[in-house]
Parts: sequence; structure tokens; C-alpha cells
Amino acid sequence: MIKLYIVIVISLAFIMCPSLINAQNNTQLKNDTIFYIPKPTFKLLYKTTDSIGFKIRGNDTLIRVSKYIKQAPIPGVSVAYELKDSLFLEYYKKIAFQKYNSDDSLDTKTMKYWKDPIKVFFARSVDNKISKKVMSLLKTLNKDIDSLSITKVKRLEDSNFVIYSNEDYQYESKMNTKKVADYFLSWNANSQIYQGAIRINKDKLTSTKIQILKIQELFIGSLGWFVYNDDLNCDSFFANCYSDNKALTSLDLELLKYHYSYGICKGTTRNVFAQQHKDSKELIKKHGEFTKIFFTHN
Amino acid sequence: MKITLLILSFIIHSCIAIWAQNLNTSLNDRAKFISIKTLNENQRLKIIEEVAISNDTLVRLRSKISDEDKAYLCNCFKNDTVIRVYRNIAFTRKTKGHRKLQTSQWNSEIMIYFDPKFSKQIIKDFKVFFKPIQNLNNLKINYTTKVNEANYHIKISEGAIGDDDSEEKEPFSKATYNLVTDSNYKYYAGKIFIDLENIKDKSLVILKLKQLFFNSLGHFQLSYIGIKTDSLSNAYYINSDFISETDISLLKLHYFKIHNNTFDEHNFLNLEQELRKTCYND
Repeated sequence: MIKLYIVIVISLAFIMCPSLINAQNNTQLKNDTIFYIPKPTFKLLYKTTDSIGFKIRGNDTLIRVSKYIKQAPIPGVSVAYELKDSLFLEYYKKIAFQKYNSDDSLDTKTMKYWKDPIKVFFARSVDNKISKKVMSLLKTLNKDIDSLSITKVKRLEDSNFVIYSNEDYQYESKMNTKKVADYFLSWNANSQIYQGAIRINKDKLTSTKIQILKIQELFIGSLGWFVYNDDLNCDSFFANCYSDNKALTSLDLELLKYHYSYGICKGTTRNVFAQQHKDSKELIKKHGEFTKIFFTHN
Repeated sequence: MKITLLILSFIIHSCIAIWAQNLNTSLNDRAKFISIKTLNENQRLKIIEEVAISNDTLVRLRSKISDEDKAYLCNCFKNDTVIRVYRNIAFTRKTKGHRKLQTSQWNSEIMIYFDPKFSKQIIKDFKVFFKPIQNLNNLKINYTTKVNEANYHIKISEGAIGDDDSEEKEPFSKATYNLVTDSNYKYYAGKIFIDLENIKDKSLVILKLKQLFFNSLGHFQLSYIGIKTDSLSNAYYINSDFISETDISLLKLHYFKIHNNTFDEHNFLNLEQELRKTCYND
């Protein structure tokens, strides 16, 4: 019996992503196989004389060949597509993508993320007790989230993230000093954050406990220029309301893990993100549950 | 006849069910997800949302007002005079030019620190006065002598507050308060400043402290008419050693729930209407 295998390569051009999607059927290839290759892939890897037929599937032309040529490895790191349930993705989309304005139908700004390790420096006026409590949360994040590295440094020149107060030298000139606490981030053209700062006003936030909670909340916000959410319980660090009981909830951690998972393209807008999921799910639906999709990051 | 009665009874029960549902909708909580592993069989029946995460499923349960909570709510809304006063003082304009009048609440335990320059008597009088509201539903007030533990400082100002010629009997003359809010008008830090040096009649100090603190509990507006002089929200409040029943009722009404998001007068009127129906039908 002749088995049919389809090997699909979708290039950067199709999905407007800085990475490449490489989708591949997981079943092993055998000798008695007929191969159908998408036309763009055929052009890349085969001679014209290799074609022994063709078929149309949807909008694609698939070229029949007798021999499968394994594609050249794509440069970069390939990470398997991370399938998530739709409700989780709805929450993620609400927090990860900053809007241009209140019109929800428009596409958003690109999501932001840290690629380099975060090296945190605490300014002199931040009490040891506060820095210890803050670092306790940051250590948890460092441990539990792949691709995120956070450490404390003792020298300002070694840092790329400063936590300071109104009593210190004002490290970030663009910080909004009218707010009782705020953060400021700098990112490059690829939406990769390379520098950050948190400032608290100790005159307004007099309680040590509140200073700790506020720094923790802002630090988590600064991990992705996140949008604080009005659906989530105030105990969540992603909620847009204060709570004395703020703590890293299971959902918070999962949202952060997902933000730093490379199972989806980074630095995209909400529409591109949604399209990638749609495409990936369609590929899985089309080629079966064993289909593996890889996102390749340069 | 029997059929008519049956239909009538069905309509009445349906209405009560709809009212109860509306009430639940008005008071719905924000999404809180917990591990499905922590639930028993009965709790699993209340699941309304599920989120699969690595190694677990997080669920959100349907919230329902308990009979006890409903009785408390009905009690808060039973006094028409309190409701009328409340509508006058609690809904304020939060941003310039914004038409909606909204409430503000404390969403943090209030931990008060007194400036040591205040006399012991003033601090004692203040504490005795506010003792009956120290532990209301959704409003907790405590005191500390450690400055770093407090999120509410009551201080003597370092400079003058306001004009020299302002009438010092006015509650906000030579005294002010500042509050720190989140994006939903929920407070979590604050300060009162009293210009002690420039207040000639020192007996006004405790009066001002009482009125400023009370008003800062909801950024209440002072009222000049339509409210008895035993209420701290009356601009002509007559000093008393004990907080009035009206003011306790106003605070109970204000803090019957910490609202999920902003809460305006329209929301309040809808809720009041629903509650009247629900409470009346019980």
C-alpha cells in the first residue's frame, strides 16, 4: 500500500514573523512513499526534471516527486509550537499587547520581551528588607521561567535594571515622577527590552509592605510592558487594582512562562500572534494530531 | 382558576430568580482561578471557566451571594435617609471634565501613624471616636507607632496650609488630606496634614481630624444642607465624643462590597432597585 506524506515548509514571507515556521509530519518516511512538496519548497530544493506530477490542494500547488530531499537546516533554534487553550490565550492577549487607543478592533503594538539576562541594581535608599523580599520573587521567576534570567548585581555599571526612589539619584530621566511608583523600559527595533528602571516615591508610599508589593507588581509589568487587566482578581500581579494580598498566582506564572516560551514568534502584534495560532491549528487539523510545528528563532 | 394560580406562581418565582441573578451579576467578583485539584464534588459543579496549564487545570467558580450576605446588603439599603445622604456625598467627579460621578474606596487595611507631636489626648479621642468602625465589612482600621508599617500618616504640616484669612472653622481650612489611588479609584495610602501652628482655636484640631479622616474614607463631599449636624459629612458638624449612627450606616453602605471596577451613580441606582425587589420579596 502506498502511503502519502506531505512535507510543508512555510517561509518567513507567509507569516510576517522574524522567525521561520517549520511544520513537519512526525511519521517516519519509507521507500514506498509518494511525496507531494509545496511549490515554493520544490523550487528551493529540486530541479525541474524531478517533477513527476502535481495536484492542487486548496490554494496550494503540490509537486509530486519520487525522492524526498531533506531540507537544509534552518539557522537558529527551533522550538516546538506550544498549543494553548483558547481561554488562556484570551487572557494572554489582553495582557501582552498594548493598544494604540481604546478601539479594540485595531491591531496592537508589538509585544516586548527581555532577551538578555536582567541584572538588577538596588539604589541606596531601597531598604535591605525590601530588596530581599523583591529578590525572593525574582528568584522564583528566574527559576521557574525558561529563557528568563534575573540576578542581583552590586555595581550600577553591571546592571541593566535599576530600582530606586525619590531619595536617590534620578537614574532614568524619562521616568514619570508624578506617579507614586512607575517603571520605564527601553527596547530595540526587534521589541527586545534592553534596559529598565523602577522608581517609587517613599514620601507617598510610606509603608514598607506597600513598597515591596508595588516594586514586585511593577517588575512583573516590566517583563513585557504588560497591560494591567480589569478582569483578574486583585491578588494577581496582572490585575489593575491594588491588593494587600498580591502574590504570584498560578495563572500569573503560566502567563509569564508563556510570554517567555519560544513556542511562538516573539515581538509580534496581536493580529500576527492570532494568525500564527490560527495557521498552526489549521496545520494540525489538516495533517493530524501528530504534526509538529517548529518556530525557529534567529 | 387553578391554572391561573399556577401560572401566577410560576411568574412570581421566575421574577425572583431573575432578580437574584441580576443581583449576582451586579456584584460579580473578578476572575479568581484555583487549582481543580483543590475542589470537592459539589464545588466542581460551580465551575464556569477552565484554563489548562502545564500539570494542572485552573478553574473559576460561579460566585453566589450567601443568604447572610444578602441579609447584610438588605440591611445596608433599608434606610432611605441614609441612601439619600449617601448619594449626595459619595459620588464625586474623579477627573476634570469627566461627567461620570464615581465612588472611591480603600482597598487596603488602613494602618494609621500619628505624628508624635500630637497630644496624647487628641490621639486617644480620635481612637475612641472611630472605634465602632474599626472592623466593618471590607474596611479595617488599625494603629501603629512604627512609621514604616503605616500607610496612613496623620501629620502636623511643616508649612502653612491655605490662606491666613480663611475661616478656620471650615473643616478643610488649615488642614488637608492626600490619598494614593489605583486605576479603579481604590485607595491604598494617604496622609492628613494639619497646620497646627496657624489654628488659633486648638479645640478645632480634633474636629478637623475627625472630619478629614471620615471624608478620606470615601473621598466624600462635604454637605451643607439635607443632613443632620451629627454627621461628619455635614460642613457644620457639631462635635461629639461618639460617631453617629448615620455615619456608621453611611460607611456600611459604602463598604458593603469593594467594587471590582469603577462604580458610578447609575450602577448604584440599578443595584438599589434590584435589592429593593429582592429584599422586599423575601
